[in-house]
Amino acid sequence: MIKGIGHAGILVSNLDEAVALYCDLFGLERLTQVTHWPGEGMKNVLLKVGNQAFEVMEPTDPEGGLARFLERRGEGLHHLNLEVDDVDGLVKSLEAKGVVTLGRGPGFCFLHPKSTKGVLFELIQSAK
Amino acid sequence: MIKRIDHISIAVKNLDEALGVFKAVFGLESVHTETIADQGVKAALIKVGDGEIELVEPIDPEGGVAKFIERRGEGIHHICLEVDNIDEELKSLEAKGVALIDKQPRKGLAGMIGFVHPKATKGVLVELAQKV
Repeated sequence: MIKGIGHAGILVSNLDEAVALYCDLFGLERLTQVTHWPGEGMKNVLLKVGNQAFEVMEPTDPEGGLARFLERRGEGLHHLNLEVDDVDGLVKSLEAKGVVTLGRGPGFCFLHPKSTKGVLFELIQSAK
Repeated sequence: MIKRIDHISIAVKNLDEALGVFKAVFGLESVHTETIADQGVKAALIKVGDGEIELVEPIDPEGGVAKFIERRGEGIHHICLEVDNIDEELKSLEAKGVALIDKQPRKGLAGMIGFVHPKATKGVLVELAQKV
C-alpha cells in the first residue's frame, strides 16, 4: 500500500548554492548535511518540508546517469518518492503487471518512467 | 511559512489514459476532476496519503503545459507547497527579487495559488497554495 509522498528529488549543478537558495526563499531547514553516495554518483542534502522533504542532488560522477540527465534536461524536478508499507510485495505485484524496475536495494526500488507516464518513481519502505 | 508538499503535478497527454495507468500500477484513483480554463488544462487529483498527485492534460495547444510536453515529454511538471499565507509569501519573494509568474494570488485547484518562475528556483516550477 502507498502511504504518501515522502520527498521530491531535485537535480542541480551546484548543491551548496541550491540548498542555500531554497532555505532562503522558502525558509526550509536542513535535515541532513552534505552526504556522498559514490554508488549513485551523487551527493545530496535533505531539506525539511513539513513531514516531507526535498532531496537536492548534485552529480559527482561525470559519466553517471544523473550527470547525463542534468546535461540533457537541465536542473529541475528529477523523481518522486513514495512511502509504501511493503516494498518487496509491491514490486512483485508491479513486475507481474509488466512495470519495469530500475535500481533496487534493501527497502527501495525505482520504477522506469516509461511505465509511469514519464515520472521516475522511487518507492521506499516507510518506517512510520 | 511552508507547511508541506501539497501535491506533485504530472503533465500527461491523455488524462483518462493516465488515470488508468495510475490505477493499474498503484491502485490510486482520482478524487476530483476539473477543467481549469485559465491554466489551459483539465486536471485530476489523486489522493496519496495526506498529499496528492495531480495529473494535468493540456486543452490549450498554446498553453504552458502543452509546450512543456512538446519540449520535454510527459513527466513531473511542478511541485505545490502549502503555505499559511499566500499574500505574505508572494510579497516576501518579490521583495527578494524572485521572478514570479503570479504577483497576485489567484484561484486554483489547490486554493489561492501563485507560481514562482523556475528560473528563480533552479529549474523547479513551484506553486504556492493557501487552502481556502
